[in-house]
Amino acid sequence: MALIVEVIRPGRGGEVRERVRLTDEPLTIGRALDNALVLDDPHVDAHHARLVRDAEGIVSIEDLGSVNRIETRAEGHRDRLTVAHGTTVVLGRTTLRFRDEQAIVPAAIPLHGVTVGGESPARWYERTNGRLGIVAAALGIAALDTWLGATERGAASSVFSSLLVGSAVAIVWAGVWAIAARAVLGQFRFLAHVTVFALAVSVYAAIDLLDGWGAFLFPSVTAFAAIKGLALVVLFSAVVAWHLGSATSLGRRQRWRIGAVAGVIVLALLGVSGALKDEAFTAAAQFSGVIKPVSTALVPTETAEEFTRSITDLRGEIDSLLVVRDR
Amino acid sequence: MSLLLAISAVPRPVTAQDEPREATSTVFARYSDRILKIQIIETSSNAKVSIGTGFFVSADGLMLTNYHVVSERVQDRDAHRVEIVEADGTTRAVEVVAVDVVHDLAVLRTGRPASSHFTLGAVALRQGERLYSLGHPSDLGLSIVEGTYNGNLQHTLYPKIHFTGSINPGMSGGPAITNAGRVVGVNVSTMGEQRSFLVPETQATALLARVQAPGFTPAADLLSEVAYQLRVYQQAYLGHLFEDEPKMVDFGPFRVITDPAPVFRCWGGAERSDDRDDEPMYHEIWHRCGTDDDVYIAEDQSSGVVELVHVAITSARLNAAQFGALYSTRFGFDDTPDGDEKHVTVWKCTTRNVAAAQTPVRAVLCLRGLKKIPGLYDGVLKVAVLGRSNAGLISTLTLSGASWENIERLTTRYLERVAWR
Repeated sequence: MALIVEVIRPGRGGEVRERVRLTDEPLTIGRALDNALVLDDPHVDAHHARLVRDAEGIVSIEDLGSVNRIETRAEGHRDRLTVAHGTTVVLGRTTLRFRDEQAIVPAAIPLHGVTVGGESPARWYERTNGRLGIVAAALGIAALDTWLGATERGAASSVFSSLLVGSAVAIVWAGVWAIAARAVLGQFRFLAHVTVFALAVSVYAAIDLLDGWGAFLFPSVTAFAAIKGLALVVLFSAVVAWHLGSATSLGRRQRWRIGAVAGVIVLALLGVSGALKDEAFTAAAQFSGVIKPVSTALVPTETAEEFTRSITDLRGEIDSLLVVRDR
Repeated sequence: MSLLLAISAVPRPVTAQDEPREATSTVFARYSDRILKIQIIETSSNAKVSIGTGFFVSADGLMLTNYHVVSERVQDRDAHRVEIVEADGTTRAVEVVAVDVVHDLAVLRTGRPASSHFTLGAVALRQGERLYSLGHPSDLGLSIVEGTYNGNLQHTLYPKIHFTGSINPGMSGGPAITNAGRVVGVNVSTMGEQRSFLVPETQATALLARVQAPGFTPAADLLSEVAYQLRVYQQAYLGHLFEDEPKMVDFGPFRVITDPAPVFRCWGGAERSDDRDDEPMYHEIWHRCGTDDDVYIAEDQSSGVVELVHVAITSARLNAAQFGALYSTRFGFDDTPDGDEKHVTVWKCTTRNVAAAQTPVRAVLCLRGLKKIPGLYDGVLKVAVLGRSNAGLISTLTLSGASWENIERLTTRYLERVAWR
């Protein structure tokens, strides 16, 4: 088993500057140019340390009386220690990592698409054109949504500003994910993250639309708010899973598991905040104001008698509040 | 219209008046000993929370004042007591024995004989006759105010005399009398600038007769007496609202109820969404009918307010979805009356699409209960006519301090009337 010494550049997130393969000969390390491994680090002595292999093949690093000695994360400063695959020592400000040359490295990341295992070809939504299509569709949906809700003059201006604000949010959101992905996988993939945002916005618009129609057509069904809340939490989980797909090389199942955990955490936080909230008195009335301009033939209605019955239930609800106050 | 209850005394500049004539000083000298200051003491702080005026109406010391002067004692009996302040400044705790919440009157038993008192009885008056109102304005001492009798008000739920004279907070419950010392009414409220109102003597006579009838015992719980009176009184005027064919008026593309009873006053207006020269995005017209008057139950809480508001929106420029967005926003706007946690529960609302008699509507009923007056509710019915993509009507009926039967009945009748032209 041969060991490799990796010199890790200080302050650059683990980037390896050079690698040296150990032989049977002792290997000297220092700032002087006559060393086998030269370190350009002002905190390293001219002749700082050396690597030696004993008769059984065990490799040790020995200090040569340096100013800053040899530092290990676990054991502090040492004059001598044995090294093996995985050992890390610090000389001055330079980190040396020892690795077995037989260590397994991860599979290569394909240049295009996110296919894991390299079997299935990139799907349409994983290609650049597909992604641009999704982003364009989301912009269209957002523009339409704003325009259909504009009731004052200057609809074009409100559409433009809503798109501008939406794009700014998308850029920041996707940028954070892309930078995080760059740190983990070395892949920026900004467009992939923008696509996730665009998809999320489109799905949100669809949920909102369905909720509005539900509240208009079936005002007596009180479950819509809960269904909408649940749908939004599922959407959040999906967004997390989709982003992870572009930002990491995790498997599909693992990504969705993390997404689900994130969703459950959000639900739990909402639950806690709901439970802690003191129901303050309010003189404001809350009711569903959604009205859709459609033919009345499409709207299921109650008779006036049925309405009277439902307002009688309302009276019961109020009377129960009054009873509670009496106690 | 504000009630004449002095909460705090704030000095204000007084307009110069004519020199008082001889008669006024004579009237004051002759009758001032029949009128005393009333103060409501909060028992834990032992200090007054409000003041008013009362006057003797019997030799055994029965005194008349306004319900609203003593309402705190009625609402929260344990935390308040009622005191009269004698001319020499000594105070005496007195008991409220009867109230007429609708006409805003109360009878106190002072427990001391009255050396002189007013005798109630019918008085014939002509418009313009001189009257004298007495009381304790803003705790400044007993004062006399001259004014003129201007008959009964037209648009009120219950009779009120229009007295043109400057009566002020603190004079509530004091008498308005003629030169000869006959009580015409009891000071009750003012709109400022000499527009003041009196409870007619006939109401006071009726309440006093009840107290003086043989076998009268004060109600153990005046609050339930108040609730009972409010329910009975409502039946008289709310019970028949919208009953027969009510007056309808063309209102944009709709027909709506207007002027449902003589006590209502209606106002209206038209607005454009913007004032550019071409066709605006939408037109909005409104029509509001309301009772000027209400029954005082407690501060921030009244009964008998009925209000109808119709708003019609039409647009030739918005598309169907945009009109729907506008219509939804206007319908979702919360215009329910404000309320205090001490007096009312939160609102609870029911929303339904209803096949009303003439056209399908979206209907919301919001309801809240009055905590201290069992059986009374505030109710708001809001209705939006469905089915058009460029015109809509939002019609709101607001009832405050109404019985459940009246809310249910008026809601049903109202739903029968909403119509397209």
